[in-house]
Amino acid sequence: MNVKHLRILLADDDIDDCNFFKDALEALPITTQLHIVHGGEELMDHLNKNTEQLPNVLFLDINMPRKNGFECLSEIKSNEKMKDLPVVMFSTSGEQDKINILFKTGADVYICKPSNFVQLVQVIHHALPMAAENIFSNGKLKYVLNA
Amino acid sequence: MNKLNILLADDDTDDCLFFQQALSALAEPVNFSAVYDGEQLMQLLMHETVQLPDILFLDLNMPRKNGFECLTEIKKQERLKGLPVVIFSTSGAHEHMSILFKTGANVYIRKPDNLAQLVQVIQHAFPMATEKLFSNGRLKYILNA
Repeated sequence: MNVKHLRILLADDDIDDCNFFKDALEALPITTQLHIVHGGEELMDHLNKNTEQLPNVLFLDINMPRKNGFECLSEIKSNEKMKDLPVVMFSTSGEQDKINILFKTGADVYICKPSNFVQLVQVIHHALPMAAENIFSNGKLKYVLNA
Repeated sequence: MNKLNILLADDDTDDCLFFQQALSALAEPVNFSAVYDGEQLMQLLMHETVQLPDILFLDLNMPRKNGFECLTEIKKQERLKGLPVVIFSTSGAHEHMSILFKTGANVYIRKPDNLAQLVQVIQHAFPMATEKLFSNGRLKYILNA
């Protein structure tokens, strides 16, 4: 994977959070290409249409209407064409029980959304190499950022 | 850039050797030293003339003075409280983690059992432990959750 130019997909229904994320990516010292979807159903449609060229990393919000992040994660990890896609779960809650279930389901990194911009840039910057390395090591290491 | 000075406090000799092997596999060379229990650690750190490490990796289960006691003392001392501390433990008990973070730990690593993974988590821990602090509080990291 070319970590200098990552294709990132964000699934989040909150427009403010999406803009915040986009600004944070632009503050990183690497170039990224961001595509945003605003719900779980839209996400699964997008992935199903692009199985030949999946993103390098998916940032997945948990609380979304109609199909939530956990349902999407389960579908992705049980789909032969998508299961290797690195998934960073992105949530406002830091509940440990939920985190454990997400890791068992196949998430690589869990980020508890920081409330300030500088911290968001930092956690995204840390998360990208973590998500990338798990492709090569069968996802054995699990990371919680901003515990 | 100067080499990072890494101090490890761990009473388990095998774990110390394992850690040292992982450090030597890193892309950037570092200076490494180790102490083997909590009392030895605090004696070293309290010595006025000693140069403080850039990062302390701190095992929790140590004889005489355990890692939690050391962390508490470090964070109460004006001269030591800015020292970045990475807790290094075999346990993944999450109730311990929140107390450690409240006490001032920066990063929590659950010791991986293979060398390649240990190299990876140490590599990630360096920038996390040394990143600048911001007014709204630090970020807390759990590696190998």
